[in-house]
Amino acid sequence: MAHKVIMPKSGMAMETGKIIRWLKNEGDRVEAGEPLLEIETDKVSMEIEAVDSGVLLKILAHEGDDVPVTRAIAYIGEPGEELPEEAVKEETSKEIKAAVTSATNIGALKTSDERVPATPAAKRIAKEKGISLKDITPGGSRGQIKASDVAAARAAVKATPLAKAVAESSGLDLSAVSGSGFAGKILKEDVLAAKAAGESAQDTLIAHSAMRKVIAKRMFQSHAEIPAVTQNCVADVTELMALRNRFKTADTRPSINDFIILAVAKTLKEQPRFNASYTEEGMLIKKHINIGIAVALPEGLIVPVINDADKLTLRQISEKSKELAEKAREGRLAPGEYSGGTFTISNLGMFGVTSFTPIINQPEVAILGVCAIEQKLEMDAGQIVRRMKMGLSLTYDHRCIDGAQAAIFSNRIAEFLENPLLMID
Amino acid sequence: MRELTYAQAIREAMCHEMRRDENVFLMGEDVGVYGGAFGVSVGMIEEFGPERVRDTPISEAVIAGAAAGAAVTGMRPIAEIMFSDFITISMDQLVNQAAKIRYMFGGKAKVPMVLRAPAGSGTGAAAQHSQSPEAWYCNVPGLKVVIPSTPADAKGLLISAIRDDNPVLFLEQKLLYRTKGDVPEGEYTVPLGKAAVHREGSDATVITYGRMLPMCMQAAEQLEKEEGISVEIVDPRTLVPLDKETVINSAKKTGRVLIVHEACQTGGFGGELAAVIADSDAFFYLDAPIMRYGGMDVPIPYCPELERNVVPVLENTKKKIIQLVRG
Repeated sequence: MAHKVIMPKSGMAMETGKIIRWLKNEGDRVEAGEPLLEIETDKVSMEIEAVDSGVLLKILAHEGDDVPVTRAIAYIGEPGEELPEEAVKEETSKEIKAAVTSATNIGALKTSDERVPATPAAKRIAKEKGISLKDITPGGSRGQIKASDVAAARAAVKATPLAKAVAESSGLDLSAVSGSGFAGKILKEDVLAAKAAGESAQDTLIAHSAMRKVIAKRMFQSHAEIPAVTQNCVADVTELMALRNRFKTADTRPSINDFIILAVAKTLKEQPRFNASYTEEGMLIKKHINIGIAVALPEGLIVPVINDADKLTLRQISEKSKELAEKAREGRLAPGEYSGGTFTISNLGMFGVTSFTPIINQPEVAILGVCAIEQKLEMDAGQIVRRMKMGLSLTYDHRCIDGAQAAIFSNRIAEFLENPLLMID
Repeated sequence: MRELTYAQAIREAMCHEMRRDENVFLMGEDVGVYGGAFGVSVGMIEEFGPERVRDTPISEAVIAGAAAGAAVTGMRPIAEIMFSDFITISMDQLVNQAAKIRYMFGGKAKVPMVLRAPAGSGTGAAAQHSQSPEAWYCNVPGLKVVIPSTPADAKGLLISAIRDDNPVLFLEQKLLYRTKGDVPEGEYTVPLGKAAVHREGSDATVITYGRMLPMCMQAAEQLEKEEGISVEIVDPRTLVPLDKETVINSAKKTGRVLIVHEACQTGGFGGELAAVIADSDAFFYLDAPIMRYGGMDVPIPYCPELERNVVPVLENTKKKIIQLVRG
């Protein structure tokens, strides 16, 4: 019996998953537990492992397909095994549907003898212009090639395979390149010349990734709904840095950020109104202190969460945050690892940012922006002394938190950071 | 130019020919004092008298047979059948006599008669008084079949039909009798066998006639505005003889053809039009299967809502054109 591979439902809110790539081809041997494909949900991308061992008999959903959860996407079984009838049916009905809905899908009309369905007009024009119908992408709703498709194929860029490859690798649009080869064919030299001439001549549209769409939606929603205020204060971290440097090896040495997490966790415990959600009826004070740490990714950002941060030691916080950041960068976070946060820290200090206005990660009520540490000169008992100062930018929801409360909150964090010994209990 | 209704234009054509040629006369049920079931011949008996505007018994076989006989003996009769549905009773006279005489007598006899009859649904007259039987006659060599779609064509085509030496079936459109349009005064003829291009277009050709023409014109205008689709509209005006050249050229020009007629789709004239195009070199210019939109293969219902919807309607016509162009 062939086993179904389904689109997994990872996370309550997941409705569909987009197939990024199959890591195995049809006919490949697959062992249970082996990575089979990569998918992307509206939150993360992740690898899906095979549940059963066998041969990947049939792939039903292909790269780029957005598939509802629990829908069969492939079959694993023994070589030569007959697929269940539903698999074949599912495939065909999908093909027909795709052919009807998608303008680029050849399906319904394509017969086994590989005759290409085309309208008489398309055939005549293709013959006149010496274009093979096989090279034309059908645009008809029944998978047929129409005259306009022939025209499109004629207008399509003629380029050598090398030129195409070079253009693709350098992200250059061939239609903007003029060819110097026979009958205007684009050569590699033309592509390189065009590239040198400056690709910036044309605007390019980069389609949003699923993650970018989520970020955009959530940022806009937060920005639109919350009357947010950002207050900046400065913490003297001279002693904190000295303390940090006393940890012997880089392996065990906690980062400044780890200290900040610790300080925030302690402050949240003392001032629970910052560890809450705003609702129409009142403030929902959260029982757990789960601190999210914004992690920058090439295509966006994600906020892995350190659960019950107030119950962890500095070392535990350090280890957990390192592990989560690594997973986040590799796109391996499990849904439970980036949800359920009650407060967020966003650190831009490493970029030298001195102040910013972070946007609240709903449904939380505040977010702490951590800024760069700078050297400042200060007068101390008539002496000029060098101090290390770090900016803190706290954004809060003014519907439920007022300026004085926010000041007390950020001052307390600063106090912990200035006197790290206070954090020892 | 002055406006006339379709019915007035037909009357003007008959009067014009009766004044010009004493051999022309009108006969039919209640065409005299009553002025015809649809009032087409109102007032004619006053001008031409009962000899030339003759009421007949209720016998369609007699009307057609008497007309054929009169024509053979040198008259130019215009015979009116009250509803085109009842031409069935005239069929033997038409098919076996009128259509064959000129051929069987080696051209020594001719049959210059016109059989006028109103066709089409939409008047609440139910299954026996609402049909569009034009395709039947097209299958009989020797008969000409004319369907005017505008008042001007009604006048011009009827005058040409009366002057033609062969039997002509002149199928008037009940629902168009009251529609108005510019009609040239005096001598005005439209040749039989010459189609009209009512609207130039580039994306699709709609071939239609009779009362479907105004509906298709409306569809074309709306699609131009709403969808940017440019529709050409061709009205063959006479099914026999058929202006194949205009039909084929338009099909070649746009590459997409929809044929719309009120008559039942199965065995309807749309099939013939589609075949004429597919048989021609226009085939190589087609960029979509030729599409037909005819009436449903059902008797015309009495229920008004059903009656309206068993024949082609505006919204579906638009949908079909969009499908034709974008499919």
